Amino acid sequence: MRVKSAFLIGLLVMLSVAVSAIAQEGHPLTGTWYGDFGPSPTKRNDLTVILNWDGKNVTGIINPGPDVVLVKVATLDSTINKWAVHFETDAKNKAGGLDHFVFDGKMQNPVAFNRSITGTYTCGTTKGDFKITRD
Amino acid sequence: MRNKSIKKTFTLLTAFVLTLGLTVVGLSQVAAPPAQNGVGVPPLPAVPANAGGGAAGRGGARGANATPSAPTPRRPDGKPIMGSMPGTATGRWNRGPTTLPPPNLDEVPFQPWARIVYDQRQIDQFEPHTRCKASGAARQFSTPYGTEFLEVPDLQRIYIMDEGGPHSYRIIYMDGRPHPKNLVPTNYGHSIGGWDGDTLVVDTIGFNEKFWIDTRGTPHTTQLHFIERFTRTDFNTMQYQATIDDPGAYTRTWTTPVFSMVWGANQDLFEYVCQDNNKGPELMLGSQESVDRSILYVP
Amino acid sequence: MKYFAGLAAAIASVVLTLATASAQHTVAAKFDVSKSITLTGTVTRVDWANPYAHILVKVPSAKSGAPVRWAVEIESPILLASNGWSQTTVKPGDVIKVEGPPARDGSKQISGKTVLLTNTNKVVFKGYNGTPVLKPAIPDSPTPLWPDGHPRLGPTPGQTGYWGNPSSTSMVQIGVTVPMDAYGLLKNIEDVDKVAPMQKWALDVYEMRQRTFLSSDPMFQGCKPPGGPRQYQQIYGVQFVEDLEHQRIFVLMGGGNRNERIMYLDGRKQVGQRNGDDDNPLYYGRAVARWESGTLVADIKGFNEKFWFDNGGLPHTEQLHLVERYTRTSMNTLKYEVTIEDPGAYTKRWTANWTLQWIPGEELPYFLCQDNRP
Repeated sequence: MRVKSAFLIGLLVMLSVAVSAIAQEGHPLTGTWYGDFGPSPTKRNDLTVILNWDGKNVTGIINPGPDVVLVKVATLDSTINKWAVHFETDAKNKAGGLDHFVFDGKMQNPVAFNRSITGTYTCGTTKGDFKITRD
Repeated sequence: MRNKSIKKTFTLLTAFVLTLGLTVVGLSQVAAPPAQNGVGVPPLPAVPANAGGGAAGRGGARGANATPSAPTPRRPDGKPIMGSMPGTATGRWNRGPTTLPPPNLDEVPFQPWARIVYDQRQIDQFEPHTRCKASGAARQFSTPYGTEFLEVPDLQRIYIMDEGGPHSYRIIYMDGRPHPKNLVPTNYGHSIGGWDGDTLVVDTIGFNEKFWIDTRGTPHTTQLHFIERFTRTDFNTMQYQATIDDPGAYTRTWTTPVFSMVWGANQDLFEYVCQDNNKGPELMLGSQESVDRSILYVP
Repeated sequence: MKYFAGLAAAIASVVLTLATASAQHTVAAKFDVSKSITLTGTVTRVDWANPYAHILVKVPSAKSGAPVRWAVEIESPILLASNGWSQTTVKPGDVIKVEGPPARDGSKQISGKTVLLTNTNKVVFKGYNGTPVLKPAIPDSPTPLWPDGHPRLGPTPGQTGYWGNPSSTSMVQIGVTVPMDAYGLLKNIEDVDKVAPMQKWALDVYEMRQRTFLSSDPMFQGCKPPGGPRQYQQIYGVQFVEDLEHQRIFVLMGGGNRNERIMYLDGRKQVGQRNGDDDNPLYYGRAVARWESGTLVADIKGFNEKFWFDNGGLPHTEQLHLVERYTRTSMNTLKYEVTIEDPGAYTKRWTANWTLQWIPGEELPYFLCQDNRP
């Protein structure tokens, strides 16, 4: 059944990231980030990002659950005063195709346990902003 | 809100998975103890059965993996072994007393202020242990994870290791020394121990007032002189009884009922860090910022 | 600490000058060391607690309003007591004049650089934030041994003692020397890339932690434990309890939360503590050890990322793998060498080492990080 398999996939995916998601003093991107994104202040969508660092690459998932998507690319430029974050993902749209999302932001308070990332995103011709905070 | 339900599902699932891991008790990867450990103790019988004696705390429910009640193990000099037998897998004493007074509180010789404080503590239950404060006297034995008794004959002392809570340790000096004159009060006090037949008698003074001596906050002051009697009545049972001599809080000395702790075989100490994920920052540890000491908190 | 008392006696008996590194963190993490203010007030209370004792004073307000309460942060009761202080050296009702840096966050707190008792006009306290003074020499003797010939990591029978006075309180890779204060705060921020072979993100994070005066330190903020080599950088020291009956060595820690951790010498695999627990990363990791002639070699992995493994804030990830070598070269000296392998944060394996000194006749100082929190 579709619901059941989605649940199991979701569970497997969550298990694989569960342990690292609670770290806070390792790679600054590691962890679970909560927030939202949207084209305007009144049109918002939930954004939950779970990221992991393996020593070479940042990997992760967005919005765990039946609509979970994999992070395709995620990078951090930790140069002082930059702290630029970039990540991309593909999400299924209603027409059965893929929407490509690109997020670009800056990390605030990178050494604080509750650091945040704010920035903008594009998806095709849609533009908007996002903010996520590490729990 | 959808975001919160995802977070909640994630949290519940993670908690569920972690709980699965943590509740598998006694299925350790440590090998079975050798048949002969060279200290005159008979080998453990092969068939485990739950025969632990005494009224156990919640830890008693885990007795399913306990060996039957073999007699008290002893050292060559005849003294009971209070911890794990030499050369064997280590074990722990599961939860012991949680609240020291007898069921009838009128039997406890509270001073009036102490009774009022005790009653208030039953309501607000604002105990220091839940804020990671090291807690001595009987509170050390009150966590579900129990304690390990580490006997170090070479140093002539016994360490009682907390498993849970502050994950610290208490030292019982067994070398006949007296209490020092100018003790700085501490959370565990200064303990000296000696034998009364098969009972280990531990005498402790030098407590501060920054903790509760049991889970219910039976009051005490820095005048507390706490005498504990530990008796390993059989392999699986440790009896515990305490005498409270505290002229600051009580009108006379009084003695607790006898409690029991059940032996948990094949259990290594695991890591437990109280400060790990406490989400009540306003109650403890400075709210993740440097503490403003110009504002006094109620301890 | 006997030689501290001797040192204090050599100076005017009422002046406290700290002879070695102070307790938990650099003063700059909480106080703005570029400023200095002076207050005169009446003592209302002495809060005698770790990690720092505080003197609460009432300072008359500049306008004629209610007096303002200030907290003066001095030192840990352990260091104060070893230098002749007691809870009553300064008493409620005394008027004191305090000079020092104010708190960065604008709260009514000051770090006591000097504290003067106005009725005697004597300075009763001089804090510091700098290099430890040389310790006086203690007579040495050969490494004590167990009957089977391996070194004792603890005292000789009938004695007690602990390992303190670390010769280095923060890690630097072997072959490099950079000036730092006693807490690992670099004197020159340009030296960041010399300290260890860090990946770019790790170097940038380390630099950030240094630039913010190590104030994001989880041990400073929330009493998270000093896992890894950090436990050997604490002035309150460690004790090793060798449980020969069960082939374990307990490390008892004087700093942090007075925790214990275990090194297993029974040849077991370095696995999780409970069934199904193999992946649960820990603050202290999972340690197995063996003796290689006179050196105890310990292997630790399975660390989490919720703490700092070094006073100076060098980063690490869950891939951290430590190999520690403990060699008691004589009665008084323990050489500690650690090899750090962490492909998540460093570009190659690197090594640091320092020594600990045997402090005879004393137990571990009684220190609890969580004491001074509400």
